[in-house]
Amino acid sequence: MKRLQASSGSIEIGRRRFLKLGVGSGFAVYAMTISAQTAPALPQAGLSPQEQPSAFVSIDGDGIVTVTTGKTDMGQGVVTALPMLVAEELDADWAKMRFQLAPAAEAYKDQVYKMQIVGGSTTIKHSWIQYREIGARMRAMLVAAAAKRLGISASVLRTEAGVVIAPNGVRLSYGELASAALAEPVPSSVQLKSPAQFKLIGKPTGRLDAREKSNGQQKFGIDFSLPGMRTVVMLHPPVFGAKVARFDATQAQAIAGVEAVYQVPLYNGGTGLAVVANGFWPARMAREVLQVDWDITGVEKADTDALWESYRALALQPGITAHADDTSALANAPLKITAEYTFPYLAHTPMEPLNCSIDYQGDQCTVWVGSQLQTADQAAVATVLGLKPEQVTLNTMMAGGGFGRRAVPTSDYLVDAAQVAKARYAAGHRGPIKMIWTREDDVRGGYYRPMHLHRVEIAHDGKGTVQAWKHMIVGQSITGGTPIETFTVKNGVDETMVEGVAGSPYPFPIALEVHHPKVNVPVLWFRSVGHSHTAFVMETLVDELARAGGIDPVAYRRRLLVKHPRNLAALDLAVQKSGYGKKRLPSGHAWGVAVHESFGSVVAYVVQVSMRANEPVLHQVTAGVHCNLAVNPRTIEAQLEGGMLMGLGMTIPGAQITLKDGHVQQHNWNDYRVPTHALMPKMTVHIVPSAEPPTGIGEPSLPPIAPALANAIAAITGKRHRSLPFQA
Amino acid sequence: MISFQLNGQSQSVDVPGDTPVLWVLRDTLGLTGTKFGCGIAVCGACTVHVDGQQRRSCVTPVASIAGQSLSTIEAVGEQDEVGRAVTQAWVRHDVVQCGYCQSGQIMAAVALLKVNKRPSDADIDQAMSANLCRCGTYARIHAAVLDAAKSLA
Amino acid sequence: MTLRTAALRRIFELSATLLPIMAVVAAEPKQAFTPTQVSSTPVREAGLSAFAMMERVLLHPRCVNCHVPGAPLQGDFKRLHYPPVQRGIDGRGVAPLQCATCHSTKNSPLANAPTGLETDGKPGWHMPPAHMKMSWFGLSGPALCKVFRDPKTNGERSLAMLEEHMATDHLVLWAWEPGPGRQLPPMDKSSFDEQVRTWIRNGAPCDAQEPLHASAGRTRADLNADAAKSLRAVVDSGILTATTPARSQP
Repeated sequence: MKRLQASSGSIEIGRRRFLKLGVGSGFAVYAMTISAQTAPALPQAGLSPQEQPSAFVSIDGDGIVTVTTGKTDMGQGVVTALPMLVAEELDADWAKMRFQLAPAAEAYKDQVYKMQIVGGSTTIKHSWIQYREIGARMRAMLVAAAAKRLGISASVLRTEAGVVIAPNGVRLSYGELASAALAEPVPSSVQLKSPAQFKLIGKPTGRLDAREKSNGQQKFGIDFSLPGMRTVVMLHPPVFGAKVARFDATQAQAIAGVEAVYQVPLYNGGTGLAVVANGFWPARMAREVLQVDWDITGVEKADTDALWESYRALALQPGITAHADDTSALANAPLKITAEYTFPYLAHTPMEPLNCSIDYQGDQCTVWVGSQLQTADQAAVATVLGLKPEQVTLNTMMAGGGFGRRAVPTSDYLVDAAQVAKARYAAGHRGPIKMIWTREDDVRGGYYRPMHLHRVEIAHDGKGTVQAWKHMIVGQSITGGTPIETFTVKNGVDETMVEGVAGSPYPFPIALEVHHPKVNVPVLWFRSVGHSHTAFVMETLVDELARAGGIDPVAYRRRLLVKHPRNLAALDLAVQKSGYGKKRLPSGHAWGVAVHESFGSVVAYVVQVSMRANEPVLHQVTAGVHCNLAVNPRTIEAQLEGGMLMGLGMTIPGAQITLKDGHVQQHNWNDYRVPTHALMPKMTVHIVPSAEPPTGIGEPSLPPIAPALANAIAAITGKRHRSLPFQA
Repeated sequence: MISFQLNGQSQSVDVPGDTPVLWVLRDTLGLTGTKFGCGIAVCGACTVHVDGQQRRSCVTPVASIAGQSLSTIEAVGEQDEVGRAVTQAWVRHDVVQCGYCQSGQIMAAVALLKVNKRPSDADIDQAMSANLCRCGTYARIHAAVLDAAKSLA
Repeated sequence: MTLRTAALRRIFELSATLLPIMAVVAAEPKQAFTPTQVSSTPVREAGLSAFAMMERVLLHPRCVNCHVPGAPLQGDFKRLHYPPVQRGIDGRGVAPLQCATCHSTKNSPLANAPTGLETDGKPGWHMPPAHMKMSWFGLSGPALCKVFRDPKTNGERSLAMLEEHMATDHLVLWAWEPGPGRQLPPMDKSSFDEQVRTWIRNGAPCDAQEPLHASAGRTRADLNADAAKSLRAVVDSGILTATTPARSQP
C-alpha cells in the first residue's frame, strides 16, 4: 500500500496557493470553505493520478465534495460528467458535488495522450476508469477512517449519499471524516461498481455550471482581472508570416489610456504590433490609427482560386498510398460514378474570443487561459520567457467554446502574448497583461479546418455492388510538423485527413491516395476533424449507389453494415423513431439518411426535407446514437443538438473562409456565416442502450447531417451537391 | 462625468463619451456578465436593456445613455418576474453549454417576453435569430422561452 | 348632450388632429425652408436631365437600402440586412429587435459595425413605416420618378416638402457621412441639392408627355401655419368657453 506523501507541509502550501488563486481569480467557481486539512494537495510526482485522489477530490467540513478536473470544459459538459464518475464510486450526495478546473500539472495529464489535453472526444473514454477509481479510493479512505473512529471493521460499513453507515445505525458524514480520511493510506487497488449498480451514472443530470452560466456570474478567461492589469490588442500581418517593415505609433500612443506599442516576433516567424492600454477600448481605438508598412515579400500568398486549380491538378497525379486496392475494373466499368468534392477552409469562431492573461515576474510566470492543451501551452510560454515549465503556473479558465481552436500545438496566441510580456518587462513595466483577440483577429487569424478536394471514381454494377473505388484526397496535413505527427502521420499519410474513408466500415475496395500540399495557411483540427469532410463524401456516394441500383438507402446500408452491430443499432433506432418507411410524407417531402462512425461512436440521422423556392427546408431530424454507456443522457442530447447544428451550418451560404492574394476575405460574423436560431430544426435524439465503457460524443454528431440533408435534396430535385457550402 | 442608473443604482463614470457601454461595464465597472463576442453588434453577446429597450452595448456610446436606466444580466434575474421566470427556465432546461452567449440570450428572451407574453415559434425565431450561439443550444433556448412564457401566463 | 359637452367633445376631436401639428409647429426650425418655385418658363428636357442625375443618388445603396418593399438591404452590394430584421409597423423594427437595438446615436467607428444617427438625443435610425413604404427598389426612370413624386407614395409630400426633405432631413444627410467602409453617393450633397432645384424649377417632369407641374405646393411650415390658424379660429370663436346654448341640439 502506498502512503500518500501529502504531509501537512505540502497541503499547507497547496492551501495557501489555492487561496491565493481563489481570491479574485476565477479559479474556483464556487466560494469554498477550505478546512486546513482537506484542500487539494499539489499533485505529487511519481504517483499515478489514480493514486493521489487528493489532487482530484477535496471534501470540506460541510461535506461539499469538489472534483478538480484535469479536463477543460468548453461547453461539452465534462465538469458535470467527471464529478458524476467520482460521485458514483464515492457514494456522494450529488447535491454536494462541485467542480473546479485544474491547472497545468503532471497529475492531470491524459493517461493515453500523456499530455494535459481535451479533444478527440476522449474525456469520458479516457477518464472512465481513472475518475471512478479516484472516487472509489476516496470512499475506501473515508470508510477506513470511519472504521478507526468506530473501532469496527471496515468490511461491515456501508456508504450512501455522503454518509458512512454502521450496522448499528451510527452515521458519520463525509464532512466529519474528511480530514481523517486524507491521513489514511491510499489503497493500491479498488473494486468498481458494475453498471447495474449505478445510481447516478446514466441518469439525466443537470449541469453543475448551469446556474452560474445563466445569471452572468460565470467567469471566463476573458473576464479575468487583476489590479493594475493592462489589456493588449494585437495587430497581425495581413498575410500569414509577413513582417512589420516600419510603423508609426504616434497617433496610437496619443490616445488616452495607451501605455505603449511594441513590435513583437510572432509564433510563425512573422512580426506584429501589440498595443498595451488600460482597457480594451483605448487599445482597440489605438490599433485603428497605427500606421504600418508591411513587408509581405518572401511569404507565400495563398489564393483560394489558385489553390483549387492546383488541387484539381494534383488529384490527377499519383499520390501517397494510404490504402492499396485493385482499381482495374474502372477501365471497363459498365457503370461509373466520377465525382469531385470540394470543402473550404473553416474557422471555428468560438463565442469567447481567444485571450490569455500573463503575469510575468522575471523568474516565474502565471498564465490564466481557457486552454485545451495546458501542458503544451505551459511549456511554450516557458520557452519564450526562458523559464523552465515548472516556473510557469498555468491556470485553466472556463472556456467559451473551443471546437479544437483552443488546442494548438504551437500555442500560437499564448506565444505571442508571452512575447508581449517579455517586451514589456524589458521596457521596465511590471504587472499582468491580458491579451484579447478581436473577432476579426479570430476569423482572419488562421488555424482553419483545411480546404479539401476529393476525386472519386467508382465502378459498380447498378445493383449495389462496387467493383472498384479509386479515391484521392488532397489537403494540407494538420499534424505534420507538430509533435502529434508521431501518432497520426504514417508513411506520409496524415490519418486526421483520411479518417472516415480509411477505416470505413463499408466493405468497399477503396484504393486511397493522398496529396498533402504545403500552403502558407495554418491549419488545425476542427470539430470532427477528417470526418467533417469524409462523411459527406462517403454518405452521399453510398446514397447514390443505392439509388442507382433502385435499392432503398436504408436497406442498402443495412446490407453493407451487417458485420457492424453498433452501426446497425444506431441506424435502426433512427429509422424506427423517425417513421421512415412507415409514415407517409406530405407531397414534395423526402427522407434523407446518413450514418457515420467517428471517435468510437456512431450517429445516424434520418431527416425529413422539402424544398421551398430552391432552398431546403429541414422539417425534422431524428438521431440514433451509439456511444456505448451514456454517462449523462442530457449531455448526449446537447452534444447531438450542437454538433448537428454545426454540421448543418457547413451547408449555408457564407460558411467558408477564402483567401485572395494571401489576404483572408472574411472579417467577422457579418460575412463568415454561422447558424442562427431559426436554422435549428425540430430534433429528437435517441440513445442505443449499452453498458460498455463510454465512447466519444463531442464530435460524432457533426459529420452525418450534411450528407443526410444532401441525400434528401437529391431525392426531391435530382441534384447532387458535391460541395460545401451548397452551391446554388 | 456621465451619469445613469445601473441596475437600479446611480452610477457615474469619467470616461470619453464615445466609449461603448460594453467596455464601461467590463473594464471601468468590473461587471463582466455582459460579454464581448464580435464588437459589431451581430452576435448579441453584449445585450443590455436601456430604458426597457434591448440594446447592443458594444456599439452604444456611453454618452448616449446619460440619464437613462441601464439594466444588465447581473440584475435581470432578480429584477422582476419575467427575469426570474427566464433564468429559472434556463436552469430547468439545462440550456447552457459553454455559456458565453447566454447572458445575451437571456437578455433578449426577457426583452421578448416583456413585449410579447405568448410568442409563437416564429416570433421566437425572429426575435432570437440575432443572438448567435456556437455551441448550438438554440433548441433548448427555444423550449426555455416557451416554458418561461407558460410560467408567466 | 349639452352644448358644453359637445364643445368639449369638439375640443378633443380637434386636439387629436391639431396637437401633433402644434408640436411640430413648436419644434419648427428657426429658419423656415424656402422652397424652389417652378419657373414661368420651365424646360422639360432640363428637368428630365436633372432627375436622371437625382436618380443616381436615389438608387445608390445609401438610399435604396431602406427604400425597399420588404426587409432592409445592407452594404454596397444589395445584400439582405444581417442579422435578419423586419421593418415593423412604424419602420423601427419589430420589438424586441428594433433598429435602435443595434443602430445607436452615431455611426460606429469600426468597419462592418452598424450605422447610427441621433434624433432628439435618441437613436434615430429607421425605415419608412409599413403603410407608406416609399419603396423604389427595382424601379428606374419615369416609374421611379412617379413613385418619388406622387404624394400617395412619397409620404404625402408636395414638391416643396420633397425638396425640404432632400435638403435638410438628417437621414438623407447621413448618406454623405455614412461611416467607414460605405461608398459615398455619386455626387456631393450640394450638387444633389442643385439637381433637385433644377428638377423642380423645370416643372418636376417624370416623362416626355405629362403636363409639367405649375407649382411646388405647400411647405410643411405652410401647413402648420394653416393648422395653427384653424385652431386659433376655434379658440377665438368662444365655442370652448360658451355657457349659453346657441341653439337647440338635434
